[in-house]
Amino acid sequence: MYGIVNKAIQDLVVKEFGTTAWEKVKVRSGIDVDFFISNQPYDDSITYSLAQAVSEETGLTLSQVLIAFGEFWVLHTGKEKYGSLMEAGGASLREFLINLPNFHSRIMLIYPNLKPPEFRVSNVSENSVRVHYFSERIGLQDFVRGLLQGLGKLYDLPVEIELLQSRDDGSDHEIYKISW
Amino acid sequence: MPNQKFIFPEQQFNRLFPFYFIIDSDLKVLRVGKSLSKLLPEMEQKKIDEIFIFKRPGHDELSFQTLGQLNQLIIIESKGAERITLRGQFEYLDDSNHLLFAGTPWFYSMDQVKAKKLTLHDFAINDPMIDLLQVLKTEEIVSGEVKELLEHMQRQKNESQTTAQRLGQLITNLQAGILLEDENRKIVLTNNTFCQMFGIPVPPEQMVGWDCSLSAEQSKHLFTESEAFVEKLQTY
Repeated sequence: MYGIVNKAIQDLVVKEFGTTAWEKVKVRSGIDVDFFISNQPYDDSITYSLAQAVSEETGLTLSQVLIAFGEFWVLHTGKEKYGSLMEAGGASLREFLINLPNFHSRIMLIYPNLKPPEFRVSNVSENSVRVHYFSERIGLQDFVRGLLQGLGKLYDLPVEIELLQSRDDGSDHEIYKISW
Repeated sequence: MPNQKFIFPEQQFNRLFPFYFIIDSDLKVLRVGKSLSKLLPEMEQKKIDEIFIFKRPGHDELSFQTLGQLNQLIIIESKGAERITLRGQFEYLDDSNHLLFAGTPWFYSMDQVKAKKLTLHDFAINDPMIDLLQVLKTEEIVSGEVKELLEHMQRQKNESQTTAQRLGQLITNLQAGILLEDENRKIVLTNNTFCQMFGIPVPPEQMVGWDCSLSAEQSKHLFTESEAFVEKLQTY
């Protein structure tokens, strides 16, 4: 993954638990990188080790860490670093979710070493959308849930997220139903 | 003028969209833009799935009808050794029942453009691709420099850690009693001799972080000039 992902984990830990906690996470994970460069690719194992270490260090479950990280990604990393781009994504949550496939396709072209997920949307109605999530990576379903929750907060809408199908039950991709 | 039609001579259309292609309802390529035919010379009369892999959308069964309705960014990659990536969109042409692909190839460097034997003249003047490559190049140079700087700092940090470890070992084994405090009067380092001198019954490493702000007062009786000792410490 690109450094921006690891940097966001660092920012989340520092913001919520302080600098000392982040130093402990680094020691626990065995990752000896002082500074993550946003546009440099890093091995995926670094991100997974960091997430695991955050879970062990904070006492949160891995699922809680990934959800918190997903929300942080939208509400802090996305908003602070790509604010205008995020706003250009849509004037409402519904519009943003409909644009999600294009958003990721464009990012995929800019970052050649990225293996981005693919999103598709279906069953678009006035107050719900189904988001289909295709990814080569495993174990990030809760991260996506956190992203969707974060988007709800970004647009100041209480959302309900239902996982309709998952690779865990033999499907080839996840489908989330987001209602507001 | 809701129904006004634009009709372009092919030469002019080629100037605007030199990487276009048109397919019929059997997904067979009918016409190819002049620059795209330089990159992929044998496209005509082939079906698009013989020529391209769909990267985005990549998980749909694609038919003429679905392609015509896809209102999203299309990324396709040519099969074979060439591996040309095109980004663009499909537009349904009502009159002829064909699909037009309007797009441009995506490169990551000017070297790639050169390797494909393309020049500036092969791109539409309105296409920002080449300018984007210049921006990317500048960013690549800056990123490289930042990376180099970080590696340099990491090396320096490792060297400082090694030096600190060596010094620590030296101090621990020194025959003189040493205690090092930080600016907040917290112990940074001390040694066995110091603990023995002051009768402190814990190993020196356990004392790291202890607050020393009151220790001068507590141990001043051990010094012949006790008040001068406390005063001197306050000046640091």
